[in-house]
Amino acid sequence: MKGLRLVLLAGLLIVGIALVFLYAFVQRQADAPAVTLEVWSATDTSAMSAILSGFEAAHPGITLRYTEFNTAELQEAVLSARHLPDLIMSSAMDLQVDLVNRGMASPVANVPQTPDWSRWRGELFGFTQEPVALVYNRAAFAERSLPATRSELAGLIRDDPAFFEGRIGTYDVALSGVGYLFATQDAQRGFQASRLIESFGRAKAKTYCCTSAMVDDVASGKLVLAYNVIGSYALEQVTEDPRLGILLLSDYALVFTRSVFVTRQSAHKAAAGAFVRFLLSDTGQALVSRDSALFPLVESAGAQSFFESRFEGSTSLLPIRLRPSLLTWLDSRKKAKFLNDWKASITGELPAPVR
Amino acid sequence: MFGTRSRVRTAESGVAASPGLLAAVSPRRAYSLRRRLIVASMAAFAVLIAFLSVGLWTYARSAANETYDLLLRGAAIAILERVTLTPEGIDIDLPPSALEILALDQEDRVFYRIVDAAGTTLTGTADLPTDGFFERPLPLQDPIFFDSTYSGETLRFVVNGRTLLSADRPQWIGVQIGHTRVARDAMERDLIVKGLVPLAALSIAGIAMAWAGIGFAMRPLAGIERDIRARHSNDLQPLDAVPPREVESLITAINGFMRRLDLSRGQAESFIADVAHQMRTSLAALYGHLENAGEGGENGAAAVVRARDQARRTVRLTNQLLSHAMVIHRADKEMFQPVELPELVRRLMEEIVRDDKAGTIDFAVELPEDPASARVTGDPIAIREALRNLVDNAVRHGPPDNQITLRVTAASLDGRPGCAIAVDDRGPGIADADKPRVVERFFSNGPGGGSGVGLAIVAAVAESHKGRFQLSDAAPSGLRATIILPKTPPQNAGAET
Repeated sequence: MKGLRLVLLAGLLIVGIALVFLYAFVQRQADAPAVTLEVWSATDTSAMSAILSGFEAAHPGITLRYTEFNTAELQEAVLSARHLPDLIMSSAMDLQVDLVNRGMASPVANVPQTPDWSRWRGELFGFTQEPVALVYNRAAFAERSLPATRSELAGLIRDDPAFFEGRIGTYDVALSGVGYLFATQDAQRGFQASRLIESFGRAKAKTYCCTSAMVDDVASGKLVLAYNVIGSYALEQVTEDPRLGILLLSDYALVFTRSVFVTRQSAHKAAAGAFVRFLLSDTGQALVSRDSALFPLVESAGAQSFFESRFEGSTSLLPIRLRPSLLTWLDSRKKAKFLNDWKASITGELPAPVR
Repeated sequence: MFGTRSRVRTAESGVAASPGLLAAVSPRRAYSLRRRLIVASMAAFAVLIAFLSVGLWTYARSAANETYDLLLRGAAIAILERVTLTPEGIDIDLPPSALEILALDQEDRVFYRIVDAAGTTLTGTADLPTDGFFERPLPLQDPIFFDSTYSGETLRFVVNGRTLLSADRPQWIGVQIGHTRVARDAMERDLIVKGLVPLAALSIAGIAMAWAGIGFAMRPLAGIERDIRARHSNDLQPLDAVPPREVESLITAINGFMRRLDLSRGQAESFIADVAHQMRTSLAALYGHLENAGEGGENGAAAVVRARDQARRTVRLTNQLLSHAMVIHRADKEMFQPVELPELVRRLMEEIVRDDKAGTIDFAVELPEDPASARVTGDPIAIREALRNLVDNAVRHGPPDNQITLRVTAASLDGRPGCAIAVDDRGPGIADADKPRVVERFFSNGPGGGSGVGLAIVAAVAESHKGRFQLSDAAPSGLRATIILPKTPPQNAGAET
């Protein structure tokens, strides 16, 4: 009698557990196709498409809806949005840190190990590392020595103003978020930066919105060199165009990272987390390395040799850290003052006031 | 039908069996000293840890706050240093180092703003919580620290300021910096864990030591137990264990008890041996007389007289031995009650006078005026027996024209009130040298010597009442036997030492 009851109870328990599993399975099946991840990104769709389709192939239940912005637009859109997307991806490290600092991000667990500088709070993850480079016209420098450092570059400009006049390009820091980031990081690194900008000003340097425009002008011979271009984008053009050369200055070369975070408002945190993990996984990094213009963050051979095999000049790489210190340059006063000084230097109209 | 009945029967028998089973399993269970000590020490340690945890938590929190407040303060100083007054107005050049300092802890989010005395945000995040610091005196040298919730987390804020000296009037400029508590909480947890782990280890060690200590403390007792267990039941030698001070009194008590047991057993054995000897001797004499009597003739007639005499003595001896045994037996029990000594003496005297066939003896009784003053707490039967023996002795040892006086007087016994009952006779008395010996059992004295039990009974009664029995010479001649009884026996009558 007692034994019978026990058997009955065990049977019921097994049936119950089976039902729960069945329900979970059905739920998964039913849920799976419904997930669509909204991605807002300040990265060329063309650079990302292989990675996106790679993720969708690996996770059949998840669809990505990718919206492209430029960095400033993205920031504005995020701050004014009533409903945030699931993922936000941008090359503007300072703006990404700002958004995360405001508490908009949600932590992602079990993310593959990546360098310390490229991640913050377990919420913001860099997934590329891209050096800031100098692109030059090979023909123009056929008879000349290439500058190895920033002070050498400033010296070259000072010694031969006629050659460089109107033929140097760099980012318009007021227009481009990454340009501003590179310029401020230069300024933070030392006094060479302001000297260099002043010499750019004397040489009547031209300013640009984007890397590709600068590189195009260098190729056509309008410019002899372009300073502070995004290495990854430029390298794509340089490898296809024999007129172009690319070089990392040896005093230091800034390295920035594209970063991504899952928003706190996201309704599909698990799926969004899977995307972040995919980006940093070996598969994702291999896709970045092979099928996109971007450079992977995690490189088995080591970053130094990876860059040395692609760029001229040996250099010390200086990664920009994804840390709140980036917020300093987003300070409205600081930014206004910096832009003011920078404009004065680059136009050469007003000498930068000495404080 | 049959099956049902049998099942019912088994059920009944099961019910009937269970109480007996229970009773067998659980009589009064001995408690475990070890378990009690362990439970008590665990409770004590738990309380201790609870108290220390509170202290530790307070300490850890303040330590973490102090440490990271220094960072906040440093950042505030770095920012304030870069706020200057220029002809165009206030110039703020936020130093990257300030936020770099705060970025020393990896995970915390950072907020800042620079405000003027009116509360207007000059730069930074405008909507930071103020905690009402604008209502209080604005900080100049010593910063204000406070916790407040912002952007969904608790933040720690510092507010500090400085006065900018302009041409017209001094102007206060303040900086407010806050960061999340991730690093602080981590440090706090770390400190608490580092404090609690040794504490927990200490507690476990303490409990283990209590566990082991009980075993250690109980070891001498186990030795004593082995000693007692191994003994023959006749062996009442004191325990020769060297006990620790803590159980010394217990061992002493056990040894004292065994000594008394040994003593009383020895007395019982010698009493039985004496009784056996006396009875055997007495009966052997009786048998001898009867054998002679069987031969007839004049010798036979004399033997019959001797045999009767011997039989009478044997009866008397038996009675007295039984009386003695009874007195001793009664002394063991609580049979004490208020006894009016004059009443008791008067009745006894009436009985004796009735029994005195010859009528040649002059009996006298002297009683106190107030019968209440001669009331004692005691065993009336035993007292009566003792007096009866004294009077019998007086009759036996005295001349035919004996004068026997019973006197009840108030007396004092070792400083406490008591009553004395004295029996005087006109007999030969007892030599001083023999006085201590006559109270011993079977010591008989003089030509009319009795069984030798009488005075022993008297002495036993006196002793069982915590009284005294003494013999002295009566005036002008004869013996005075006095029993002095306390009015109430001492409270610790049972606890004989």
